[in-house]
Amino acid sequence: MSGRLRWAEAVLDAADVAAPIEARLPTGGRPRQLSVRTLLVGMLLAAADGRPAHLVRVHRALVGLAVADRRRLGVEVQWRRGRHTLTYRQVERTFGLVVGVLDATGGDGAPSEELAALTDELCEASVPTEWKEATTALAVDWSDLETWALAPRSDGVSADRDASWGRRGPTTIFGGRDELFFGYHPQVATMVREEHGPPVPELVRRVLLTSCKVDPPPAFVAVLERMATAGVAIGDVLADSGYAHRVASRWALPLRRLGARLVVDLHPSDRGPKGTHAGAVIANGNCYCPATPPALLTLTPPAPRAGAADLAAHDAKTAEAARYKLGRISAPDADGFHRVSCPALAHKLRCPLRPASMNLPFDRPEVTEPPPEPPRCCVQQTVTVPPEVNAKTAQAHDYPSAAHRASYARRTGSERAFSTIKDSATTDIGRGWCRVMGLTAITLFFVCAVVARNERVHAAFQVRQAENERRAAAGLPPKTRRRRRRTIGDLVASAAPP
Amino acid sequence: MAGFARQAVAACGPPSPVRARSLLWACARLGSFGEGVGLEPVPEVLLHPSVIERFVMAGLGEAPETRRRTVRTNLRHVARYAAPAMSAPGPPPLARQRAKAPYSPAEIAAFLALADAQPTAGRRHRLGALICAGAGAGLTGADLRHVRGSDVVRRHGGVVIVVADGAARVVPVLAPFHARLLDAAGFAGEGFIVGGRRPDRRNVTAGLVASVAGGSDLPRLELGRLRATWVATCATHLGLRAFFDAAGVSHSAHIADVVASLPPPEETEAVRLLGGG
Repeated sequence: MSGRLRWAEAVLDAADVAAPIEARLPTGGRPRQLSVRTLLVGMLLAAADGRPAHLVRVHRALVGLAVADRRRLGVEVQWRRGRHTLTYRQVERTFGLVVGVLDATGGDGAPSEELAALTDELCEASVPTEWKEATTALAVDWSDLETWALAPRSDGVSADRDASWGRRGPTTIFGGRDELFFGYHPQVATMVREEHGPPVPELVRRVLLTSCKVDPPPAFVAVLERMATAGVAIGDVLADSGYAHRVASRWALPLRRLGARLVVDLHPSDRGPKGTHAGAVIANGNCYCPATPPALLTLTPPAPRAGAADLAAHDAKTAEAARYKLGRISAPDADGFHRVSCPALAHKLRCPLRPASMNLPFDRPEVTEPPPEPPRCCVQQTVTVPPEVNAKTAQAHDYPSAAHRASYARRTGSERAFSTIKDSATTDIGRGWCRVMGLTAITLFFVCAVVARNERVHAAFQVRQAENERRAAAGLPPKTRRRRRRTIGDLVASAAPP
Repeated sequence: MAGFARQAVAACGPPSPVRARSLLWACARLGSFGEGVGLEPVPEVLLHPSVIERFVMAGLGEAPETRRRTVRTNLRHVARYAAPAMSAPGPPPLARQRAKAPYSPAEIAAFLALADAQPTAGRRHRLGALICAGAGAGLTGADLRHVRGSDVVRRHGGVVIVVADGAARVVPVLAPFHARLLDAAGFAGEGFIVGGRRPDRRNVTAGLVASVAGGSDLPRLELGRLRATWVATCATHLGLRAFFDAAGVSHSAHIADVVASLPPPEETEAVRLLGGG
C-alpha cells in the first residue's frame, strides 16, 4: 500500500464520515460496487496528487492503485463473467448519490447540517493529534471560488443554481478594482501560532463554502460555534476588516461569548471617535480621557511598506494614546460588563482634576485644559462599561499599536492557506478546477483539496523543523527565506558587459 | 512645525540672529515632539510649562544635561512672550551654599594653645583630638562620633585614623598633628577620642567647642571650617590649584566624575600624599 493511500484511509477512518453516508444511500437491487469510503479515498488521492477536481481524475486515481489495493477497496471485483474494474459511470453514479444525500441546501446558499458535519470532521481529522492542542489561535478569511457554470442568462437561470454573483478584490497591485465573479465564497480557519508561542504548522482547521449571496462572517460564526461545542478551544481569532465591520451581533459578540479574543483590523468607517460613555471618548475599541488630544484618537495603521523611522513615530503616538486610555481594572463578567478607571488614577498622566496625579513626574503628559464641568469618568473612581460600548471594535490590543500590529501579522496564515490552494504548481481552485456544479458537490471536492493541502503543509513543516534543529545543533541560525529583492546596484551589475 | 516655531520666536523678538536661531531650534524640536505626542502646534499648548518639562525630560533623547538646561531656558523665555498666560512665576532663587573658609595656620595654633590651656587633662586631650582630627584629617562630626583611641594608629610611616562607621575609610593625618593626636588617642584608649560613652550620642562636640568660645580675637571653632582647613592644606600639597588652572575648570563636578572612574590608591600611597606636613 502506498504512503499516500495509507494517509487517505487514515484520515477517512479518523473522520468516520463514510459509514453514516453509506447507511443513508439507497439499497436493494444490484449491490453498488463503489463504496462511499472508496469514493472519498479516490477524491483525496486525486487532490493529493494535485489533479483537478474532476470525477474522471478520481476514477483514474482509483484504477491506478496497486492490484491488491484495488481489490481491497472494491475497485476491482470478480463478477460472474470475470474480473470487473470500476468504470467512470459508476464513480459518477455514487458521487451523485452522495451529493443527493448531503444536499439539503434548500436554495439558501448554505451547506446542509450533514455536509457541514462532514467538512468539520474531515478537516479535524487532517490535523495530526500532536498539533490539535498546540494553539488556540485561528486566522479566518474568505476568498472567491468561481463555478464552472456560465453566468446566468437574461432569464436569471444558470446551470449552477447554488452559485451567485460575488465581488472579489483587486487582481492587480497598482490601482486594481474589485470585480464581479459568479460562484462561491470559501472560508477557512487556519491554525496560527499563539502570540508569543512557538511556530505551528498552519493547518486549515475548518472550512465553509457558501453561495456569494450569503454573508460570510455570520455564516462562519456557526462553524466556530460547532467547533467550540466539539471541544476545540478558541483563543485569538484574527480577521480582517471585512469581518470586523459586521454588526456586532453577527460577528464580534457571538465570538466573545465563545471566549474568543478578537484581533482584527478596523474598517475605516469604524476608526476614530464614536461617541462617549460616561464622558469618556469611545474610539478604536477603547474608552479615552475626554482631554485626549484629537490627533491621538484618529490614528490609523502604518502603511504596509512603512520604514523603521515611520513605524517608530507611529508607535510613539499609539503609546502616547495609551496613556490617555481608561484602563481596565476588571475582566468582563458573565454579562459582558467590565470596569475601567481614569488614567490619572492609574498614574499614567497628570490631571488637575485628580490632585494626587499632579505629584507625578513631568515625563507623563498633563491635561492642561480639563473639562470645565467634569463628566462622570473624571469624578468617579471607576466607570462600568456595558458590553454594547465598543461592541464591534473592542479587541485584545490597543488599535493600532505595535502590539496589535505584531499580533495581527499572524493573520497572513489564512492568506497563505488560500495561496496554497490557488497555486498552479499544486492545487489551483481557479475556474475549471472543478466542473461539477452545486454547492454540495463543490464543497466535497474543496474540502478534499484542503485536507490534501494540510498534509502537504504538515510534511513541509516537519522537514523545516528538522532542518532547523540540525542547524541549531551545528550552531547555525534557523534558515530564512532568501531575500529576492533586486536593488538598483544589482541591476546595474547584471547589465554590465561580460 | 516651522510655522509654530516662527510664530513663537517672532513674539519674543530675539535681539540677534544667533539668539533667534537658538530659539528657533528649540521651538522646532518642541514642535516635532508635540506632533509626535498628538498635541496641537499652537503656542498655548506646546509652550505650557508641563509640556516644556516633559519635552526636556523625555523628548531630547540622549542630549547632555547642559543642552537640556539651555533648551529649557530658551523655551521658558519664548513662553513668557508667546504664551504669557501659560508662564507662571518661578520660585525665588535661593543663595547657594559655598564652601566654608579655612582657618589660617595662626588661628589653628591659637586653638591648639587654647586646648592646652584647658583646666583638666581630659578636656585638653578631647579638644586637642577634635582640632587635630578636623584640621589634620578632615573628619566631620558624624565621623568623630565613632572614632575611638584605638582607631588612631601608626601605619606606613605616618598616622592614620580608621573610620569604621558611616563613610568608612582610612584617613592619613597631616604630620604637624601626629604627636598631639597620638597623645589624645593614648589617653582615650578604647573610649571615644572626643568623649562620651555611646556612639549614638548627640552634641558630642558642642561642649568642647563652647569651652574655646567667647574670645574676641578668635573666630568660633567650627568643624566645617576645620575640614575646610584640611582640604585647603591637602590641595596645596597636591598642587590642585595649578591643576585646575591648567585644566581650565573652576569647579570639580566634571573632575569628580573622572576621578571616580580611577582605581583606588593604595593606603601607602595615600599616606605619602596626604600624611605630610
